[in-house]
Amino acid sequence: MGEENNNKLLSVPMDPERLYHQAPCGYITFLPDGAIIKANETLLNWLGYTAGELVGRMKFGSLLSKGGQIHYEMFFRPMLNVSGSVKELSYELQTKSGTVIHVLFGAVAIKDEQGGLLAVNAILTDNRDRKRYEQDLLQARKRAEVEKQRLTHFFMQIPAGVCVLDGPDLVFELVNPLYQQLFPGRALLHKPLLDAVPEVRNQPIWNILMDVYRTGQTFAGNELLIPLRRTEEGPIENRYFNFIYQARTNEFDAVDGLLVFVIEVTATVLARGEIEEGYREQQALNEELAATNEELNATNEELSETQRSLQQMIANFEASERQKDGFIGMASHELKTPLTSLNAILQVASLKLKGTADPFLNNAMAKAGIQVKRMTAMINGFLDITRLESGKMQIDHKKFNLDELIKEMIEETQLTTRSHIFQVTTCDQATVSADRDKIGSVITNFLSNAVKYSAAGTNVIVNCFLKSNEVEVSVQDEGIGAKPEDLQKLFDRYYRVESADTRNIAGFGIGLYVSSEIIRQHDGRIWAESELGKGSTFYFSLPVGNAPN
Amino acid sequence: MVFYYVYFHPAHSCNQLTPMKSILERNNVNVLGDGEQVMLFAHGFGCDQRSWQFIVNAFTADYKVVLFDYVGSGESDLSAYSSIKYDSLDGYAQDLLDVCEALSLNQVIFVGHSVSAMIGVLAAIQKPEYFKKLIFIGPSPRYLNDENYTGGFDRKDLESLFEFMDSNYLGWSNTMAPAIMGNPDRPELGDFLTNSFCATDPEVARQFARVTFFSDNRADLGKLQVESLTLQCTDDVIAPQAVGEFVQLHLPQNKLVLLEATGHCPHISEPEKTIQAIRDFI
Repeated sequence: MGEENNNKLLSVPMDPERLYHQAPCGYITFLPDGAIIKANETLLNWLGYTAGELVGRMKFGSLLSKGGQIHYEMFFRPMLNVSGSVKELSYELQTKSGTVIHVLFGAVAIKDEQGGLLAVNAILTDNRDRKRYEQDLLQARKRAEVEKQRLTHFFMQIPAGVCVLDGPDLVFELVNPLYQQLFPGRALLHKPLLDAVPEVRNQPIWNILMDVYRTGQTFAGNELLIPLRRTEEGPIENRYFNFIYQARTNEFDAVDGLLVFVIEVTATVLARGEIEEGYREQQALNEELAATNEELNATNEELSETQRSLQQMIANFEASERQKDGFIGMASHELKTPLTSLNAILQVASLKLKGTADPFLNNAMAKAGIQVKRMTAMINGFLDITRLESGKMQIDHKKFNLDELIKEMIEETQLTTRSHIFQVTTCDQATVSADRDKIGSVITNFLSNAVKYSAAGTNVIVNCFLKSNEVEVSVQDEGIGAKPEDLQKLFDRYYRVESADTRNIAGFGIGLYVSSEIIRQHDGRIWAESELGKGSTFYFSLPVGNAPN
Repeated sequence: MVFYYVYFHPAHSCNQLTPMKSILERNNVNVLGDGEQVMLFAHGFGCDQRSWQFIVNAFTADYKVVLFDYVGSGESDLSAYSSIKYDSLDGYAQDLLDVCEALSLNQVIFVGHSVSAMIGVLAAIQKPEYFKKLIFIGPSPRYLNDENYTGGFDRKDLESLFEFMDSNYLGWSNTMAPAIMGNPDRPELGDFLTNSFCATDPEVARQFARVTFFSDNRADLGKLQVESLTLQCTDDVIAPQAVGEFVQLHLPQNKLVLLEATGHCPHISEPEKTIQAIRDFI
């Protein structure tokens, strides 16, 4: 189709009446009072009226519903009068058959030269399909509104603080009552977050919010500290919240807001803080206890160490004791040999001297003999000890007459000292089964002690007393006596009572120890009674009758 | 022509005592003319003081003409609108009295169109001293038919109007697009509003329509002590002749004048006849 063809078509004269009546829209003309003076066929077809029924007989208003009539009177007519035209009114026209056509209605005023309204020219376009869509859309929108309200209602009733923050400025779009309760008396709704709650600006929470908005990543905060005011003028309080920030997205999946769910847990956190404080105190106490314990352990270790060193010392001591005992034993043995020789020489010398009447020599020989005896007794004592300690002491049981042994021992003692008066009570020739030499040394030990610790000229009373199953021997002196605390220790090895009275008294503190060991090995008893300054009595007893034979 | 379009923010209370200056701003009060006697013009539902533009010039030479917009209409302060206060005609009557007080008006000639007729009745019952004469254009004490009373409308007619208004108040595209899209506060919409004359906030218009068409002030008519005129159009769907006659019958000291006119707004469609009828009365 060329231009020529177009021109040919356009050159055919068009009938204006045909254009008017066959237009794809309705045309109508009416007077200011609404009386219809012309309508096109399209409109007549829609309405079902003939031109004769409509033109000159009906008013435009009568084609409208009652609601439309009010609008026509109150809005359309004043508007047309003032503005000269009205566009796009959605009117319902009543057809002859009573049905309704939805039309879009526009009109222009035809005025005379003075501006007076002569007539109204109106165009009506079929709006039925659009109206239907419109109704559907409105209904959809109404449903959406209802849904939104339900959702809002739901939000309002959620048992947690909920708010919706809209847009990049985070404007409070929705605030449920529990959320508002977090800030009683503070205006939130429709305000940007930073206007409503400016104190969040410098808090980490602001960056978190921005991040969620930017990334769309949900953020869940647990017991997060957010210092906030409750009221507009109130102080900033340290408050703790469990919350979720979730991005809200639009239909293009772009973030256009945030959903906030929040529960304040300040009370819980503080309460737990107190508990934790208590726990910390407890912990501190525990630590103190642990420290004390450690100290105790250390002390214990020190004690153990001390004990170990004590044990070591004891071990050393025992070792040195053994060395000493060994030495004493050896020394005693080595000393005894020359002493035996010396004793023999003295006896030979005494025999040769018999007959000579040199009193000095006789006296000297006697004294030398006594000194040798004393030395022999001393060395025997040491030897006894070493035997005792090394378990080598042999008890040689023999039956013997105790009275006789006592008598012999007193006589022997009197050989070396004649300074004391001995009084003896015998025990009816009682016989015991025991080691005669060793029991003799016990009696000698008692006697020599009595002599040693009492003044010259005092009495030494020796008693032998036979009981039903034992025989008891005692040696009583009138000497210095001993304190009760010393009495028991007298039988310990090397124990000597230290006092001004005893300092000048010779001795090694072994006699009573050896005696007690001898009596113990005979299953007898040994003890002492004493009164300081009045004298002492030493006892031993030996079993009789059932003594091993 | 000045046009405005502001999205409605509900629940603003203005119960506090409002100073004079802010009343004048709140109700967009305009005073014209050189006369001593004050004529106070009150617009009806669906428009604002601009609806008087075809007749006010006839009076400014001899009278002091006071024009205003009710709160929620025209260029009033929309933020002063309270859906509680303006849920009855008493709220609008208070606007009227506020304007009188703010300008210290006394013995005014009141001209009220449509619903403003009843608003004027309520105000004049409350403060008769403010008013000298009352002129009612197309008054109706009740739009709904009742037993032994023809208001002109059944309830379903009014429901269809409200539905109609919800979808159509300021032209289809301007009403439906926001209604469907849900963005009624898109500011650029106002610039292209199709039928901008007397554009009132849709939410306010919706409530005003309900208050207007569901009110029943028949019992108030007898209480009016001020002389009044009823201008009744011969062909008015909104306020049929029977209603005008009812008003005349029940108002003490009321004169009924029939205007040979079609429609509800003779001051717009037949300004000359309307001016003459008012002049004849005052």
